[in-house]
Amino acid sequence: MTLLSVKNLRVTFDTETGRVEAVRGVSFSLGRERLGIVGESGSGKTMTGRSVLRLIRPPGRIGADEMRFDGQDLMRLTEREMRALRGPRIAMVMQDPKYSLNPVMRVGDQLMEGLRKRDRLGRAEARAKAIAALEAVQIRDPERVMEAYPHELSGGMGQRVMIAMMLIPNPDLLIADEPTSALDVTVQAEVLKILDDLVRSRGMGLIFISHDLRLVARFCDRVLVMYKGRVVEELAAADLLHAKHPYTQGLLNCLPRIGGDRGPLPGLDRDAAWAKEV
Amino acid sequence: MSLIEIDDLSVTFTAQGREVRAVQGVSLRVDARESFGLVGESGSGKSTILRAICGLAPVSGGSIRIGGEALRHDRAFARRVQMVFQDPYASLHPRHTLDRTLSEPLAIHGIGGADQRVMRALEDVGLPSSFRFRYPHQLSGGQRQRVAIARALMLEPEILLLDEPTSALDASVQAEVLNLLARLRAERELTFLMVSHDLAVIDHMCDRVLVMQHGRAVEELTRAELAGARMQTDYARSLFEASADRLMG
Repeated sequence: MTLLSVKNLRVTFDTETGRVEAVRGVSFSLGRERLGIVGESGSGKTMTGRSVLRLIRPPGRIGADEMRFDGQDLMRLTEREMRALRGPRIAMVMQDPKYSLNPVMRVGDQLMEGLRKRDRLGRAEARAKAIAALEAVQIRDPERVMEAYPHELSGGMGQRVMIAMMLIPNPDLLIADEPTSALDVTVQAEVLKILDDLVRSRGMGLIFISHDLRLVARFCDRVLVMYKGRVVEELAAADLLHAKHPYTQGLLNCLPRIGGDRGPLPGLDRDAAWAKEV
Repeated sequence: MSLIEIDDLSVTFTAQGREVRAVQGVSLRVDARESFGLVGESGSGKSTILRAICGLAPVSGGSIRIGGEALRHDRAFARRVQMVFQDPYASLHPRHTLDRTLSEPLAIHGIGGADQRVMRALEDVGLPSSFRFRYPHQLSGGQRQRVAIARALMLEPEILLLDEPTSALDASVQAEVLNLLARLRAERELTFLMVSHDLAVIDHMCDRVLVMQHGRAVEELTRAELAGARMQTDYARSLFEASADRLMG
């Protein structure tokens, strides 16, 4: 069943120096599966993720032939109807917990805010739910974390708090924008495993945005490779090593490998023709 | 005699009356023209070792010697040892042009011919000469890191301390910067002491690696031992298993 379908998505910015098209005709559909979007900085992967939530501020504009989520036309919803979707139905985990948690509010209060205001729960009940959410992301001492301010937590803990917060309303679709690139490798593996287990056990759809192809290959079913605002290749994660497009191959080959030959890493060829619209 | 000799180094910070022992009794040797890696998670003390060498962190025990001599942070030290920092967005002065950033070490050390040296430095790191009077905000992350490398090389040091030089960069830009570092090391016979949390990057760049955890040395591995997964400690193995390039066959 299709949860989200996007056809010919465009994100345009009108700037003083002319029009910049960050996303140019991206189409994809998503069921309750894990879709990865990969590309370099500026490839439009984050803009694609944000468009689904209509989180693009002027002068940015979103255009699409179709953007449907669970039968609703996202392009036609009012701002009020969008707010009802953001959080409870579609949630987004941002890149860096340092910048996305409120620095002057205790973690517990941030976790309970939605439960109290949106779900109108009592204080005790909200607190119990928040603690359960922290336990679900394997935070061992949730009572202490509830009382902590974001700066008192490590990066890995902060990112788990964000994931816990996003998963409380049990959304149908989770968009994770570079959820682990601010973290150490070992912590990265832990956080991804937690995310993966939760997405699987709750049957959510996941859009995983990253510049690291290897990570995406491991945690997703399908991968979209973006270059200059366009999808240049779409393939099953298992087939990534047999990618056909030279850009995808280049992204894979430019990574150093343990036990590699230490020769110069192949640079990434960037062919302007790949960015052309067909 | 090794070029860099660190014996039983300890670094202790005091914060709000509480002692934080960032590095505890770490010893290592780096030979001239060798490339040595330090790997570990955040808080393992790997960057603190580089900062202690530069005098940016207080040495509370043990010794650091460069070329057999006890550490003195004078001008001669700056001509021998230079550092490249992790975040090129934070390590360049935002209101200085590249020209000023690159010529400042020359002025401090009374070295003439700044004009040609700056031009050559830009060329050496693969930046067009038209960038000379630009400001950091006009450059991409990879270009900024090239400037930071050029600045570190202005005084023609023997030793380059590299603190996560590519972790703020995209994979494709990382490849370009790693290639640049490898080429400069070969051309100028540099000695590298490089910190990274990415074992694949360390393996690509370094002959030997010291694995660190909680401020202590866990295990030293040669490149062959790393590639052959012949590590002795569980911690080194867990880092190896978590390394992203293990995720794909």
